[in-house]
Amino acid sequence: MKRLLAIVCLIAVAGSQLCRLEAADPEILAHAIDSRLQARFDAEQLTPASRADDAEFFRRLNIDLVGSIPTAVTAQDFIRDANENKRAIAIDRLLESPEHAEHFANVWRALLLPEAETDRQIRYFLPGFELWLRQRRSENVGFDVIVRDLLTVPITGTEERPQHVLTNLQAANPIAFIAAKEADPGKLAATSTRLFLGIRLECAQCHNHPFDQWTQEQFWNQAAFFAGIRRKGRGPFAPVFESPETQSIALMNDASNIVPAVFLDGHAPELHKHAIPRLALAEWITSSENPWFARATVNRVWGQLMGYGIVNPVDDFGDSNPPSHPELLNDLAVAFAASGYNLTELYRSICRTEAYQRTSQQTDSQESEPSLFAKMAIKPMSGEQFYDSLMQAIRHEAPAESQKLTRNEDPMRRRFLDTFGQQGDQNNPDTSVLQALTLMNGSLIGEATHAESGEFIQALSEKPSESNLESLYLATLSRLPTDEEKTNLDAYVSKTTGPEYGQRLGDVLWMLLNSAEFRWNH
Amino acid sequence: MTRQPPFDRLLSRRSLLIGSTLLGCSASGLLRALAEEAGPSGPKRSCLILWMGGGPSQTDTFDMKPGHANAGAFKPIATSASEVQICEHLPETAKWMHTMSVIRSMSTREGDHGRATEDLRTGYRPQGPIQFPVLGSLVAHECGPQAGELPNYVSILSRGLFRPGIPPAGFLGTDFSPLLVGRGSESAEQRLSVENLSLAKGVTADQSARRIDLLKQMEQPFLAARPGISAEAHQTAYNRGIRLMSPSAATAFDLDQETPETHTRYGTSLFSQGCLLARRLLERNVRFVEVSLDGWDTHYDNFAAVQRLCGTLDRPWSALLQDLKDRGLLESTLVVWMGEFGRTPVINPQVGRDHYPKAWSVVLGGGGIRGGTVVGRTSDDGLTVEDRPVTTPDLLATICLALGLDPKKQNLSNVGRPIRLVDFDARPVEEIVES
Repeated sequence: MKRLLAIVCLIAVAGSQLCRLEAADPEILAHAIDSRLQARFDAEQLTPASRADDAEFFRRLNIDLVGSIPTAVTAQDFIRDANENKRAIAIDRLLESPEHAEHFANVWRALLLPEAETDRQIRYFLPGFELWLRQRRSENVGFDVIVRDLLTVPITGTEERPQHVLTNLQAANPIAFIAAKEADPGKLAATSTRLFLGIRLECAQCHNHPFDQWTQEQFWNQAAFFAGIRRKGRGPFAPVFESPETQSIALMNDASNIVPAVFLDGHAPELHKHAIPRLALAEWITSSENPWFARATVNRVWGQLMGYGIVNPVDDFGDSNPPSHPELLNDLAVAFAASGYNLTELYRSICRTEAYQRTSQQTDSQESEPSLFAKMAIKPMSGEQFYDSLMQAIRHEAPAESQKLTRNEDPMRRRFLDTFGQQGDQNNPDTSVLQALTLMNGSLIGEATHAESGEFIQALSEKPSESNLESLYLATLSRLPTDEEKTNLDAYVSKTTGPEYGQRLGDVLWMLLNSAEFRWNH
Repeated sequence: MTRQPPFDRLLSRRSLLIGSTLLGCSASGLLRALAEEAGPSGPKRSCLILWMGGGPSQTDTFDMKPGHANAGAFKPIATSASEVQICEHLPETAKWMHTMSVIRSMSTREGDHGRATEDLRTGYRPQGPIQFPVLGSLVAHECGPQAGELPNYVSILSRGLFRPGIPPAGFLGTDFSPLLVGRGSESAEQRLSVENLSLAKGVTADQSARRIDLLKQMEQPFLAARPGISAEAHQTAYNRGIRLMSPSAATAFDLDQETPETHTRYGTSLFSQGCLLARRLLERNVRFVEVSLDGWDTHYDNFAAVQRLCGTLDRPWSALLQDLKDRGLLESTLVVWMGEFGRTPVINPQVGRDHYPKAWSVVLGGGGIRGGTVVGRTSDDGLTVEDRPVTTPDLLATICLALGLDPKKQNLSNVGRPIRLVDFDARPVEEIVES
């Protein structure tokens, strides 16, 4: 009871501080989060999993914040570092690194332009689009600014002289969003609503939403905000123009029913004759009055870091799919809005929680319920995260600065992403048969684990030593081998000499790269 | 890892199948005993889906409207079924209409590619957190765990067809997910194949076996401490991959085993290769195979596109039917031609046709189907269904019946509630099903 009282007081204190939160101490929010989760553990009489060790935490943090496992050297340095505060320091350092902005750009590119996975033409837009995302993230502008930039991207063309969408491949520009959605008002509206408000409206396109409050008319009310956008011709490169006086749209299956632009909360914007309606939509979505924007965004970031949304799936808010921890969702949203939609603050607070720093090892079957957040979830790696981690492990050193920014144009990486990018559910990492075959027999790992072509293996086999196994483990799993692993592998490797020794080391590297521990973010 | 001699197994299962159709119910007691011994009874027939991605135009293929303004450029031709006329650009297919039934009254509710694809492939419209399995996974699940080297469900040229973020097998788990063959980006000169099926350069079979043993031993503690779907899926994928690597399984996917004459008969397109591969797999008792042909999303220049696509479709489809017939497999294989919706009967200003779920066509043929028949009717302008509307659940229940599965059977879903193979209000088109 005493403990419960303490928690209640803590929440009250945290809550009151959140309300006047400016540049808040991330520790306060982190604490408030853990208290909310703890209340549920107490109610369920559950002991959550213990704190992850340094190696497990550091590998996870790197994959989540910078999109790749750490180098062997940084992993070892972190494990050895005696500073008590080293986890908080690592969180801050990674959030400020250029790799974090790059990873953020990859994640949001995949959400905003999923068309690029299947439509090769759209891939021409990626350098400029990702550069735009990267720049905005490294400037740490509020997420509301990013969303407004995206939705209000200028379209200056006229019907006679439409605007080209792709003039400079390398220039930072969010216009790919319009082009990839085929300048289609319905697609633009559905995507914006789902990604920024967490509401799936696309099912109301042809009929009223089967399980929720949304009507078909409301879908087209949203589309009306984009109704003035047109494109001349077909394909993603077709030039576009916009007629601001178009502020209404006809229903897809009922051309006689023309509806105006109305926000999802039922209010209609006051639009002048030449006002572009989507500007009003961007303002409304990102306004502090909007009941969905902050909640949808914090829930998505929470889902990315914790492997499961407070509302799950993360973009499916609605009466039929309530949040697991409504107060927690509220705390996060309030703090996020008060911080000026500061993503760095949000990442920092969540990464500092006990919840984020728990081990993924299950000690009690009660922990298996993902919506309790009683242990770290096993998270899938995106194709990018996995490929970059794989290259990191094989190369055994950080990539050159110049290689990083052009990574998405690397054809080998692209091909790899075709096998590893799409599959897999957000909550349960899913290794497909083809992925297993690629990892077992593909040329990338094949060459890296071959005694004569693998540079890492060659370098190690020149100096047979017990520390070679440690090097392999640090490079791949970002940890040292356990005593048992050492014993087993010593027996496998040590009795051999010469070329046979190199081959055996190659086998160990092959085993590590094919292991579930390497494949997942855990 | 246990290695069964695959052809012995194939022969025994094949002869059991033939036996069951020949002997009928006279030996049913014995057969039932055998089936019980073998675990779940599984489907009576194999299934082949020819998936027309993008939504094919019914008005220009199987539900033509000669004389009407919506008819467009193509003429109907007579077929081997006296009651049925189809498009002039499907002359080879026309010779097989006596084995097929055209459902002209499909009436579904999703007009977005993603949602309609999920609806038609799972039988359920997307809703909240429930991860519905696709039909192929449902059938694979009914077959029970993969017994031999080949998977129960192979999906050819269908990347992009699967829902991002949801595994194809949904709540059934990755044991029942398809093996995907072909990226769809191959040039027609390339042979369709399973990538990375053979060992990496310089790796011997002994070394590979040693590596696999090492992997299984070393990753055990990690997996044991993290039980759940992920751990199972990881092990399943590796085990299935390892089984596929056996020489006899690899042969199944090797199109070079076919004669040049056969290749000529099927044609050289990727879809042709896909159909030929489908035949090789069906011969080896793979229970569910699908081959995709994309490009039917003809918002612009519909007629040029449909003519070209019909050209791609016609020859391999009929060659496949001929081969199945010659091998005595047509009676034990249901062949389905379908997409996610149809297209507007009204031709748009870009000489295209747009998405149209309200009235469209699907073709069922081969085993379990009363051929030469037509189900339902659309109005003269093609805009509405006038007789026997067929919904998505109706269609999937019909497929289940033709395969010998009970559409009312329930599976436990990821949200803890039982879900039927096909939604309970389905009314299968029983009049065309021959059990």
